[in-house]
Amino acid sequence: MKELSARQLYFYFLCIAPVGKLILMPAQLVSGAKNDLLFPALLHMLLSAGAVFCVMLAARAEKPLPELLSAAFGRIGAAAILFLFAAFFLFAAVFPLTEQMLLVQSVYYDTLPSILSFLPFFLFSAYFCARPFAENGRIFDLLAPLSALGFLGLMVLAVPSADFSALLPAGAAGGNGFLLAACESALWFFDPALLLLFAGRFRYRSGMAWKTAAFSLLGSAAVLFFLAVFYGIFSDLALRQTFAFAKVSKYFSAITVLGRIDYLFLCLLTLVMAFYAALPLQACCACLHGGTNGKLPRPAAACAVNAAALALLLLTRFRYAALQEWLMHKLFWIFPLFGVLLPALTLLLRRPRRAR
Amino acid sequence: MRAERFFRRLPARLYLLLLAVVVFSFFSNDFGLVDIQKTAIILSAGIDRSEDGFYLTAQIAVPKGGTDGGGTNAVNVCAAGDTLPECVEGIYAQTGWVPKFIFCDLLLLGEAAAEKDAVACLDFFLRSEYMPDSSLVAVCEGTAHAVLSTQSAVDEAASLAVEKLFTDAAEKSGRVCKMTLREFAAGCYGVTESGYMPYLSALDAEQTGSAGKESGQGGQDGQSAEKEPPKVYTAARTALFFRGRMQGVLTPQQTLAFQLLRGKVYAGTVTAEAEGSRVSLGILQNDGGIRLDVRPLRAEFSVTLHVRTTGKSAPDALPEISRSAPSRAQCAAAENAIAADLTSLFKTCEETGCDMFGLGRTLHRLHPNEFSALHGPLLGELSLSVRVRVFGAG
Repeated sequence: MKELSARQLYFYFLCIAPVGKLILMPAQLVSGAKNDLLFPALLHMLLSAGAVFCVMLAARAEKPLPELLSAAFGRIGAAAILFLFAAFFLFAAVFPLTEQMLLVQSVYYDTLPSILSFLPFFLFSAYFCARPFAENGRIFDLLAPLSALGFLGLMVLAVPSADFSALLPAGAAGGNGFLLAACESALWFFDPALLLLFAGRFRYRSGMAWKTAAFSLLGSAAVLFFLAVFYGIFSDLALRQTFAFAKVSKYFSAITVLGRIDYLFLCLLTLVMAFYAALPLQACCACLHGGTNGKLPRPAAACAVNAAALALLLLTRFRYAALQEWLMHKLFWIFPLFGVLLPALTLLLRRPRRAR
Repeated sequence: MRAERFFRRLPARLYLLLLAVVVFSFFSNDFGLVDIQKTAIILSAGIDRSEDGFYLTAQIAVPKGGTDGGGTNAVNVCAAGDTLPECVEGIYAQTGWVPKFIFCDLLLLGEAAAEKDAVACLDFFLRSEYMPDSSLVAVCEGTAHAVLSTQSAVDEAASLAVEKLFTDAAEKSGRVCKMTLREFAAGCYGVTESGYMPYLSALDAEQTGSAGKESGQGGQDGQSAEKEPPKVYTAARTALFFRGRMQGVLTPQQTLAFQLLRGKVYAGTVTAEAEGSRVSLGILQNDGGIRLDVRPLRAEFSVTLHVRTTGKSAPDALPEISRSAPSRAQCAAAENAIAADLTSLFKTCEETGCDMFGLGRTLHRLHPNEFSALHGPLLGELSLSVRVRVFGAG
């Protein structure tokens, strides 16, 4: 089994995990918290960083998740938990996939294309899912500079158009607005659960726990900065601005002369987003593979999971409002439970002897 | 051994190759090709209101080939409907072209439409993901249909000629306040519920003394070209909106004063009467600002200009012409003229309810308690002081 290096983990939290939060999350935060959109996002980010810290401490045993769970709950208990996580990851993948599809159809086409234009994504995703989860390190190495370049490029073009005073007065949305936005945005924060699957696939070195948490916070700071720029540009109209990252840069004065040069950066970020959207599906496959003790081959799991995801996507295609209602108002609690709390609780698991 | 390894890996490689091809096509947007036989590339949209609905005029580009270097002709297609999407469908039904707004850079509202409810006219464009919200918006005198149907004296399509009025260079002259769909909507949906946009008028080119275009170069309709003289356009006036409706129009002097207040003028002129003649002062540098005090509620408009003399209505002796620095009296006259325009600008805004200065927004952001304590429109409760300084530069 190939190992991840610490650098690759840091890259993931600094450059790859943040991009998934740049599409629909900003406008959704505004719908609840208005100009206070930074506060609910900050709450999620702090909780996630705390959970990342706990998962990294649990990973000191250098044992993969199935072994950690087996040591604590026995093989059947471990399999049951892994199947639960598989179901969670499939559930968590629905919204990022919907985001991706809407993004591609709206930003890269100038009239609504057919669903066929998005289906190649599942060919890519099936291949990606058939690979072991822990072998993503190389991909993180390759994607991190692309993500950083894309994000920095967009920010250079967007910041001159932003009026940060639009974020004032702080606290105007009140406690209810804060809570509503926190609930509605919970579905974007499940990175600690993904980190669980990297446990045992890297050599733990002293200080890695706080460093990973710190890189997670740094990535979050980039997202917060993006949110501030986004609201600074659109202020009261921000609620209407879905696909936020694709819109902030187009008001740069040179765009009228040079054309949409920002598409270069948008394409870089979209490429990274495609991998990020496929990650929960890959995690689902890894859980199924681990839960069946390797009896379900990865390619078979990949095909089954992608077929299920495609079916869910087709089922919810014209039911975005219903999907939003279910994920953000009725079932939002699943995300902090499986995405943050349960991963953090792995710290309490009885640790098997550390591998030498 | 090598061959065996090659064949073992072949399916994965073929899959990757297929993947590369489909992912490439996935990102390609059909390679950006637009079938112009089936697509109406809308350059500008004019929106008018009738008693019971909307009237949409779409100016559609018709690229022309040929040996004379090509160019763009434009045709107007119109449709009526209860809503704007119904009008768009009407255009589709009439022409068989799929209307494409992605290149639409100008939204022109007819005067009646702006007076009735401008936000309702723009609602369709704000909702559409396929319409750039960076497109320019303007109100026109009369109907938008009439203005878009005129033959321009300076360009082949009226919309292209109008767009030229809103370049950055034109804005720096201070004679036009350009506005985009996003900025206008943000103002109307913001706490002040105020907005503004240029007020466009079409003038006969001959009357204004502009040189007409050479004959045979354009216009979509030879007959109409004979009937109507070619037009030039001006947007030196600015329409004011409150709660989505047009409430008044600023004069060209007030528009210039507002641009000076924003500090955006670098190539304009101000004209004042001093020492028995009218003198034009070219603006070299402009700083402007608005300060809001809350105890007591008071706004201060400040404008600072560095100017030089560019012309006078009465002849001067040669030594005078060689001196470009204006006299103190000329500067003082300019100061007085600008201060009067700023005061009347504030008065007009107060009367119409349009807070085009963003004072309410600033108060809401920085002093939310004072904003909540307001009993009426902010501009009515503010006292104004104006400070204008004009310095001569050699």
